[in-house]
Amino acid sequence: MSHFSVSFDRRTGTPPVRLLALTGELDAHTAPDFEAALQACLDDGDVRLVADGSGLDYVSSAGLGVFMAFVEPARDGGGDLKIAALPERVFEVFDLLGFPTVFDMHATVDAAVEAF
Amino acid sequence: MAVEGSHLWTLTQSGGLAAHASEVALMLDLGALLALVVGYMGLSSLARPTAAPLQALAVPLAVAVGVLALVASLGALHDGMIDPKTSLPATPRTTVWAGAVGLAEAALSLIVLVSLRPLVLHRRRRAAVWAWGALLVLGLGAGVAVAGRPLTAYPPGAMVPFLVGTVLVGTALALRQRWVGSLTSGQRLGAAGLALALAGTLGVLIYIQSTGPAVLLVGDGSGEVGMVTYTAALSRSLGAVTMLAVAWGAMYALTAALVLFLGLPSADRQDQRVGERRALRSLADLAGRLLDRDELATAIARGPVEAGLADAAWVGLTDPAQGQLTPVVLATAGLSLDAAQGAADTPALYRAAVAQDGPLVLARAASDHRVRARPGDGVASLVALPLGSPGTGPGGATRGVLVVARATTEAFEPDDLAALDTFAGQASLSLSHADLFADALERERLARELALAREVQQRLFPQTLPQLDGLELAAAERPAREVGGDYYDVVRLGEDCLGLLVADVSGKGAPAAFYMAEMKGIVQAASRLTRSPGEMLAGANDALSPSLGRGVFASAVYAVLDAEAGTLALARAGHTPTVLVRDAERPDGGRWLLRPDGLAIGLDRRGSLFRQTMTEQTLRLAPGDTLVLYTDGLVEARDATGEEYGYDRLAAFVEAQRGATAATLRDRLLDAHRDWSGRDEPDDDTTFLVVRWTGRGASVPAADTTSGPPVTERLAFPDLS
Repeated sequence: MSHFSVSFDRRTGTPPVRLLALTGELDAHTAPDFEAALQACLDDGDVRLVADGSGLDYVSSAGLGVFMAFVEPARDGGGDLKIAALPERVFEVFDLLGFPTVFDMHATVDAAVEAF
Repeated sequence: MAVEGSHLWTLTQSGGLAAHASEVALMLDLGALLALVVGYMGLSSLARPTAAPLQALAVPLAVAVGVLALVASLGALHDGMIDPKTSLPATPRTTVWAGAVGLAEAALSLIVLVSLRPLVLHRRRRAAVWAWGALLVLGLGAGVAVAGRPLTAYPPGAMVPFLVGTVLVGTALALRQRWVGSLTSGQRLGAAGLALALAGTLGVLIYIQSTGPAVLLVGDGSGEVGMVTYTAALSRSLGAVTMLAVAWGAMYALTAALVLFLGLPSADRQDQRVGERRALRSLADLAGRLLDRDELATAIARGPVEAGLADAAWVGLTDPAQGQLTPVVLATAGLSLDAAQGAADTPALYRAAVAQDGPLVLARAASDHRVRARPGDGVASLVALPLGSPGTGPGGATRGVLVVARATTEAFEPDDLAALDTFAGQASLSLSHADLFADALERERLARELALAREVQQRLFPQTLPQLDGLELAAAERPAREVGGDYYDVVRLGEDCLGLLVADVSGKGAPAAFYMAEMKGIVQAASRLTRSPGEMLAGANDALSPSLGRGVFASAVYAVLDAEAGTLALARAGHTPTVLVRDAERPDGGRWLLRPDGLAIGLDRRGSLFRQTMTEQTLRLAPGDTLVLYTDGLVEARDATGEEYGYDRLAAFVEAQRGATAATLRDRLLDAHRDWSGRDEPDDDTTFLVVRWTGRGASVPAADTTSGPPVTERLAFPDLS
């Protein structure tokens, strides 16, 4: 069974930026958890989101699909879903598919937060 | 005054003393009747509504024996007289006796009525409850009719209807012996003995008081001119009512004794047993066939009503497979769905029944906070029985509650509850069968879906590969257990030109298979419109993106091989890099991963970024050039230590197979892939296409490979950047 968790954090700002720290393997089994976490943010009215991927070990196409599904609602609401601090191997998966062209991706969480 | 006959005394009742006595007698009579009513209500509230039959007979028998002893000793010890002039006892001792016997008999009457009531009302039906009430009112009416009448006066004509009514209703009720059916054979014998003894004792009591040794004579000692009971001397109304009560008790006990001794079948009881058996059997039959939740719920609701165990019933079930954990009323019998939903808080009854793991009995439903039914709605008493048991299944076992109701209060006897409990147990079994069946059906559905998806995938793959002079093609697919979205195709674009595609739609199973099918159609159409691989992929992105689900994307690599020109143009939409190996004997020999820029299909659904990014690499083919187009399953295979096969290992392996034909390379690659993971079935679908250019004899000058692969690169849509 794959291990995965999402934890929330909030950076001050106006409006604040919501951080989602991802750890473990983001695959077809765990993608619904991530989806629920993002949906909870949108439900709270938070559209300025940063996914902190520094703890990610693996991401499958189902996990990538979650980013795709939520970036548009966040942008439509005037915010964004930025991706930060991916380990090299995981970044490679995003890169192969062309995510850096479509998503705002940063090497560090701070850079991602500042980019808002 | 000569005493000639009783009618003469009647005529003499005109003196002032007599008039005064008459008023006192009226007060006394009404007071006695009131005391009886109060006593009945008090005793009723104390008595258990469903007393054991033996106890119901033994208690009045014991009291009757006591009263009989009192009355018999009265007969032996005292000869009382009533003064015909005053209608009053001749001596104070007579008055004392009358008081004692009257009280004792009043108590006996009440005890007879209250004790026998549960037997008469066994399995309460509305009609029986009404008849019982009528009996009490008629008896009381008879008492009121004679209230204030002197002992020496004839009973008034107004009393006649009450007496007739009492006899008729009393007889009808005496025939209600349903309780007999619930006795064991040992109890039957005991009950028969007690009933006979009770009937006999009450009969003797009536005899010795009214005409036997304990009768109270009316007269002046010179000759008897009438007889009354001692109780009547205390109060004539009391005398009338107690006499009726005791007489009815004797009749009921005698009927019971006859039914028990003669073993007379109590017909309705027999019918009921047959009904119960039929209901249980039908449910047992249903268990094997009824596997639909709604049908099963209907059958469960009907069971108790058809068996005569309830006037109405309804069934609420959870549906864990759908995430529904609160029971919803699905079926009713004897009342409408709306009425059932309105009658009670079914989820609350479910929780209570589950909590106590057995039948929840509400003998007086209207007084329970979970019941919303009004009197007259037909839900006066109610039993909630838990259905199902905690178990396993996808999302848990179906649970629920069977609620059965009667239009009368306190209508459920212990044996009713036992039958209902058995019934609910059977129903639970049927529910778990239905759950198992649904699980099996779901598994079968998934398996069928998987097989269908697999079949779709297999049909989408080209059945034969086109052949061109100077070109070898070989394709392979290693399906995983769960169908993925791998797809490859080779399209003939002209006499000497082929389109080569390997793609991977995210997701698994049937949805992935449908996207694959759609992709095939799009590729077949779009590839014929252009020789530019970038344009083809942009067209595919335009066509496929709108129909891809939220979060679904596809990666693809597409190459156009022009055999006549000896070129291969390649574009990539987020796909794994293509392996290119050029013969190491050549000065420009080597191995590369071709990775022109390009977004996955569906990532940019408006298509402008997709086009801006799309880059093509063109290769002038040299003899021996080998390319492998593949899906990620090939490079993501993990060995026992968890290490991925990886791009570099793949490229090195291809390079090492120098001189092998495309088909040989394919076979060796399959073996290597299997060996790496150590398993016959890959974790993920693995698909690849081996393209080997053997050439058409023309020599190809060496390319410049100092800064990368021997390709030229251009934007597919240069005007956009």
